[in-house]
Order: sequence, then C-alpha cells, then structure tokens
Amino acid sequence: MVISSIARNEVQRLIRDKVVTALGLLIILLIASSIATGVIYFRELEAQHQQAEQLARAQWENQGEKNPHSAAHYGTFAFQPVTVVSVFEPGVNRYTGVSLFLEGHRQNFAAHSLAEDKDTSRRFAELTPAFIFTYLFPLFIILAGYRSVTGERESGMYRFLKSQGIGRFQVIAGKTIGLWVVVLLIFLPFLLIGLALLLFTTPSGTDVWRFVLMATIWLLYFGVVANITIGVSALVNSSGTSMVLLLSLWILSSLLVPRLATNIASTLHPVPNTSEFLQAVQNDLMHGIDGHNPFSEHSLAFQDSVLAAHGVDDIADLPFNFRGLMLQEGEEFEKRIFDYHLGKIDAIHQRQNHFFSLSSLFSPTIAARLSSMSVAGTDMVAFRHFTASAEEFRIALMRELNMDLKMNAVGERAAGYTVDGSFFAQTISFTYERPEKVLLARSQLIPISLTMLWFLLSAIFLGFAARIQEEV
Amino acid sequence: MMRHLFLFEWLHIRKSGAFWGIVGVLPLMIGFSLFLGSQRIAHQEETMAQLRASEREFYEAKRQELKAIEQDGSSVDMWWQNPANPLVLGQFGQAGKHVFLEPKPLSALAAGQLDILPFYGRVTLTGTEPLRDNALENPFMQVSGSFDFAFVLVWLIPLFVIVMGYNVISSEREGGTFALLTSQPVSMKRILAGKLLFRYLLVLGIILVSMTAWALLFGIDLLNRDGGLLLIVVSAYIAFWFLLCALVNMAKTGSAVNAVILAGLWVFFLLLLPSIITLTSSTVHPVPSRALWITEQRAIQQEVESEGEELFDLWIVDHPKEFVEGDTPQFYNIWLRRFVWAETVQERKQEAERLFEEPRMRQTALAARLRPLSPPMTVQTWLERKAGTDADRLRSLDEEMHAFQQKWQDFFLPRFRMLEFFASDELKEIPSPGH
Repeated sequence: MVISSIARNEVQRLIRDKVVTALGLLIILLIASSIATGVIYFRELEAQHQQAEQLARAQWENQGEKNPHSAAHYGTFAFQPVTVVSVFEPGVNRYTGVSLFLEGHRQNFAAHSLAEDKDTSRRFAELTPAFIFTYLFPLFIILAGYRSVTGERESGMYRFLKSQGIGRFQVIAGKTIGLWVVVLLIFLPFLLIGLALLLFTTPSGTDVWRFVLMATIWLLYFGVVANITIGVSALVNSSGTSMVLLLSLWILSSLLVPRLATNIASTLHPVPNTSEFLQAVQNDLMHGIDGHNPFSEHSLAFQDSVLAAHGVDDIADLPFNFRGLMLQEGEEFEKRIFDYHLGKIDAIHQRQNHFFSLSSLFSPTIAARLSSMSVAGTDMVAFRHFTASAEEFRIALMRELNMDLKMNAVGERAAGYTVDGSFFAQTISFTYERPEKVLLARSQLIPISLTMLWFLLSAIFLGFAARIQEEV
Repeated sequence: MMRHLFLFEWLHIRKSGAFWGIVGVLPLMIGFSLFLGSQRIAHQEETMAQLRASEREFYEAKRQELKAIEQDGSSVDMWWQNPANPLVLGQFGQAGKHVFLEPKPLSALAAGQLDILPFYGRVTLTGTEPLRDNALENPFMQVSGSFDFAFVLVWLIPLFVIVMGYNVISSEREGGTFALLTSQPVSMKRILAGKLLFRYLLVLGIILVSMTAWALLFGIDLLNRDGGLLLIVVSAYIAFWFLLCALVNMAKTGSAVNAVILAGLWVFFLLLLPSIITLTSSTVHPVPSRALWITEQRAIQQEVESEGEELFDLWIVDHPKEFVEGDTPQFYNIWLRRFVWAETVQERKQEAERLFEEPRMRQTALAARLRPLSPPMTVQTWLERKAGTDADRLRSLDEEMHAFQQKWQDFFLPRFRMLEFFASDELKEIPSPGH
C-alpha cells in the first residue's frame, strides 16, 4: 500500500518534471523516426537483393552452350539475406559483405559490405533502435532516477517519510517501481510500432519471436540500469555525486569497455591477412589432386587407382569421363583444404568473440548488445549460417556439373564436350532458408546468461542498498 | 591577481580525487591508443616493405635470366617462360606492381576507415584489384571501432573536461565560500575565467605531456607542420568544452543540474546530432547495395564477350599501324584481343560505376555540409584527413591505381602489340608508382 503510493508519487514527479518528459518524448520520437527510415531502407535493400538474385540466376541460366566446367569457372552469386528484424538491430549486417561469389575450386569471402559505400560519419552514430537503446535510453533512466532518493534526502522529505514510520525498503521499492513504470511508458510505443510493423511485413513466426526476445533483452538491460541508478542514489549523499558516479558507470559500460575489449581481443587473437591466408591455402593445395593438371603426382596416382579398380589400362576405356571424375575429386579435396583454413579463421573469430562476451562481466551494455544481436539473428553466427548454406549449394552445384561431364562426355562426345543452354536452367538454384530456430549456437547463450546475471546482480545490489542500516 | 587565483586553484584541485583520477587514467588511455596506432603503422610499413622487396626480387630475377639468355644465345621453349616477353613482365604470375597509399605523419592518431577500405592494390596490364588484406577481419570488431587517439580526444576528453569544470562556481556556492568570493574586489566573471583557465591549462598540459612522452616512446613523429596544427586543434577543441562549462557555470544552478546539462550537451554533440546528420544524409541520398552492381558488372562482361570479334575488328580499323599482321604466335592473337576486350570492359564498368558513385558522393557531400554543426564530428574528420585514413583518401586508391595502370600499359602494350621483346638493360626502365 505504502509502496504503491510512493511509486505513484514517483511517476507523478517524473511526469511533472519538464526535462524528463521532454527527453522521454524525444526518445519516442527518435525511435519512431529510426524505425520509419529503417523500414524504407529495408524495403529498398530487400528489393535490390531480390532483383540481384534474379539477375544472377538469369545470367547463369542464359550462359549459352559451353562445357560444364567452364560454367563452374563462370560461377554465380549468393546475396546476403535482408531481414526485417535488422531494422531494430542491424548487428554486424552493415559490415559483412553483401555478395558471395560461388565458383569452382575455391571458397570466396563475402565482399562489398554496406559500410564500404556509406558516408563515414555513419560510424560516429547511426540512428537505429539498437543505438538508442544502447546509449540514449540508459542515460534517460539515469537522468530520471539519479536523485530519486538523494533528492528526497536533500529536500528533507526523507526524514518526514521516516517519521511517518515508512521504512527505507518501502521508499526504495516504491521508487524503483515508479521508475520502472516510466521506462515501460516510453518503451511501450516501440513495442507497439515494432509489432505492428512485423505483422504488416512478414508472417514469419520466427521473426515475431525474435522481436519479443529482443524486447525482453532490452527490458532486462533497462532493469539493470534502473536498479543500479536507484541503488546508487540510495547509497550516496548528494545528487551531484550520484549523477557523476552513474555517468561514469555509463561511460565505462557503453563506451570504454566495448572499445577496449574489441581492440584487446583483436590484438590477442590476430587474424592473418588475406595474402598470408591464400598462401597457406595454396601450399596445402599443392599436396593434392589438381583437377586441371592430369600430370601432377597426385592426379597420376588417382588415375592409376581408378584404372586398376575398373581393370582397364587406358582412361579412354573407362565407362565414364575420367576428367569429370577427377574434377569432382579435386573439388572435394579443395573444399577440405578451404574448410580447414576457413575453420581456423573462424576459430580465431570465435576466440575474439568469446573474449568480448566475457568482457560483459565489466559491462552490461556488451551483454545486452550481444544478446540482442543473437536473438535478432544479425550476429556472426547468423551470418555464418548464411555462408555455410551458400557453400553447401556451391558444392552441390559443382557436383552436378562434374557429374554431367563424367556421365555424358563419353565416347565420341568426349572431345569438345558441351551442354546446350537449356542445361543450366535445370541445375539446382539457391534460395537461402533462414533458420527457424532463434538461437543456433551454444556460444550465443553466454551473453544472454550474462545479461540475466547482470539483472540478478543489480537486483541484489538494490536489495543491499535498501536493507542497509542508516542514521537519519 | 592571476597568480593568486592559480595558486589557490591548485591548492584546491590538489585535494580533489577526480583530478588525480584524471591524472592517472588519461595518460594511460592516450598511451594505449598511441601504442595501437604505432602498431598499425608498423604493420602497414611491413606489408609495404615485403611487397616492394618481392617486386624487386621478381624483376631482378627476370633481368638476370634475360642477361644469361642474351649472353649464351640460348632460347626458351615456352613463350610464357621468356623473360623478354612483355606479357611475362607485365601481366602473369607475380608480374605487376603494387600501388600504396603511404601513411601520413599523423597516421598513428586515427585508424579511420582503414579496417574497412584497402590501402593498397596490385596493378597489372588488365587488373587494378585493391587488395583487401582485412577481408578476414571479424566484422564484429568493425562494429565497435578502433581505440585510437581520435576516439580518446573526441569522445573521452570532453568528459574529463566536464568533470573538471562542471562545478567551478556552483561548488563554491554549495560549500558556502561563494559569499566570501563575492566580497573580494574582483568581479565574479574574472574569478570564473581564472579558475577555468587554470583548469584548462592543467588538462591541456596533461594531454600534451603524455602525448609527447608516449609519442617519443613509440617513435611517432609529431614535430612537423601537422603536429603543430594538431596542437591548435586539440587546444581549440578542449577550449570549446571549457567554454560550455563556463556558460553553464554562469547560470545560478546547482552542481547536479550543471552536470546534467553538460552531460546532455555531450550527448547532444556526440550522439544525437551526429546520428541525426547521418540519418538525414542517408535518407535523402540513399546508396544502393553493391548486389545490383555486381550483376551489372557481369552483364557488361557478357556483353563484351558476345561482341568479341566485332569489337576487335573495330579496334583494328581504328589502330591500323599498332599491331603485327601475318603469321603471329597463338598467344599473341589471343592476348591482342583480350587487351581490347579488357579495355572495353573497363570503360563500360566505369560508366556503370558512376551510377553507384553519384548517390554516394551526394550523401557524403550532404553529410559534409551538416557536419560543422557538431564540433566533435569536425575534429574527427580533420584528424582522419590528416592521418590519411579518411574514406575519401582511401577511395582515391582506385584512381591512383588506374593512373599507374595507364603508365604500365603505355610501357608494355605498344611493345607487345608490335611483338617487340625486351632487352635486359631495358628492364631497369620498368615504371614504378609514385616515383
């Protein structure tokens, strides 16, 4: 009873506070405009990628009469999927390449990120809901709550409440609930706009889940900030100290620790540069079948084994085209080499990300941001899912081409074998299926559990601040 | 008078924990940022040195080979093994030269867009491929950005300034010494100015001393014209934030409110205004994704392939005296055509490129017009430009590579087209970029 009236009072105080109201409205306005412009951009991007996909497929299908292996070199493209959830949380999307060239013999890196073409001031700040929630919203909570207890003390109200028999715990609980209500009031429009947008654009159930989980993560994060804010305000003597302390914590958590952690992570676990990487791949490729070089040691050994298995002396006597088989064999070998080396790079990235995840022990902001990327499906795990599917398609397509060569380029047709243009229309095509599960890897659970841990710790801290003995 | 003010300020500040906190933390941050910067430069220079050495080695080896052939009059079996062949020297294998954007004097201070855009590329007769050394970087690392001096200066130092300046007068009022101050025969404005000036010099001193010390330790040369300009920019930027402190202190508000207002100004200048500026520029002039550009490039390639012989015939008509007729080797016939096609592809690609470049340039121009509204953005841009790591400079790599390719082609193509092979002493004249 007492708690709820204190809470009601606190809400009233905050709503009457012109600065708090103005900033609250500003945040709502910023969220609304970031979503509006984000949706326009998302639509354009989606249309461009669809168009590019169709064009790439058309180009593949209309490449005309040629040898299937020439088509393997001609290759085709996969384009980074665009999801509506990225309007709220773009994650790493702007920094990963938008296109992946799929060709025979090699795995390429995704190229041409959106960041390359954007004006550089974008890196300074980019107005998206995730940006607002990471940086601005916590500041708003701090501003609304830094003098929730110190203010009462400074105005003498606190003594008065105490003399009425109201306990410290009740005051703090009431203040906390009041601040929570205000936070929810400002967050509510975002929830409504977001859900409306989702319902009008995609019917995918996963996206709705993603949104709901993302909103939960942000609410947990705001809870951490609110708890710490009230706790600090209850523990220090003056509003000024409370403000300075809270701001310092905010700077540490959202500005300093993230930059320090990423830079330390990439110094501790450096990624080799591209030329070193390609050199290492090249060195390993020398030790296996080169589909283009029938005279290499490995190719000859393979040829001998095939001839022996079929009990013939000449590849012309084989019931299939040997070159097709050898190309396929080479392709599989090359894939193993690339998988191995790309796997090593992946492991480095994961070590970096792991370090970064763990640094959220010092920064709830990192925990929240990583979790929100994970549940939004815009983190590295989601991107790797896309590149892995594209690679699966590539290898299947190559097999199709090589098998055609192997089975059909026999006898008289072997020399100068070509397929006519209609062949390419019948080859498999690539449409990226986004995963139905929200989370794909166990590593994604680390930041999510750390976010919850932070919430728990902040609640304990608040409880401690509320229970402490004091002299009034 | 000032001497007294400074002395008392010093006695006052000496007791402040916040001040000693700054003295402890700020130099460390500057040091770490400069350390990372010097490592970045070292890495860049190592890459450049390695590639230049391998270029020199390649051409020296070719020259020796050629010399040996000239001396004993032997012949080479295969045309692609002949070190006198312009194709072998200008196009195949390790042939070609790297074009670099050299680090500038202040490069260590701002990483800019170096983690996104390449700073060098290799030029051959048909290729100008920027080398994305950082293609394997973790995109996640790019999201959060570099911990460079620009970050410390633009983002963090204003916060230290605010801590030093938010309660210069209000604390006197709150501590009860305000009345004492007003009873002195000095105006309040002068006292405020004196106090802030002292704190300004103190902060500036900490920054300059630690910058100089770390720069000496990490071998970063700041004693040049740009270093002088940097001094002015740093002083002006810090002065800007102290000025804001002064304005806020002139209002008769309490320390807490002052802190809120100053923090609000920080958020406004560093987060809010920039995000609105970028939102405006990218909404007014959206840049399309490269997805379409890629398919466009491929379409051009196909188009040129299908026009193949026709294009070549046209070229023959236009350049009647620039090739050898009659019984020519097969590689000559193939590559004579390929160069014509490559040139056509490049021309048409440039045309298509413009469709993507123009919106990007409009977006950049609009952002540049709005940027002066935010001093932090202005300082950041200035630093990146002086460091040579801004997007404009990094994008100029393409132009530089094309310019050098022109020289490269001028050197090799006429010789190839007339089937005139090189002599070993001519190899010294092979052009190098930027010399």
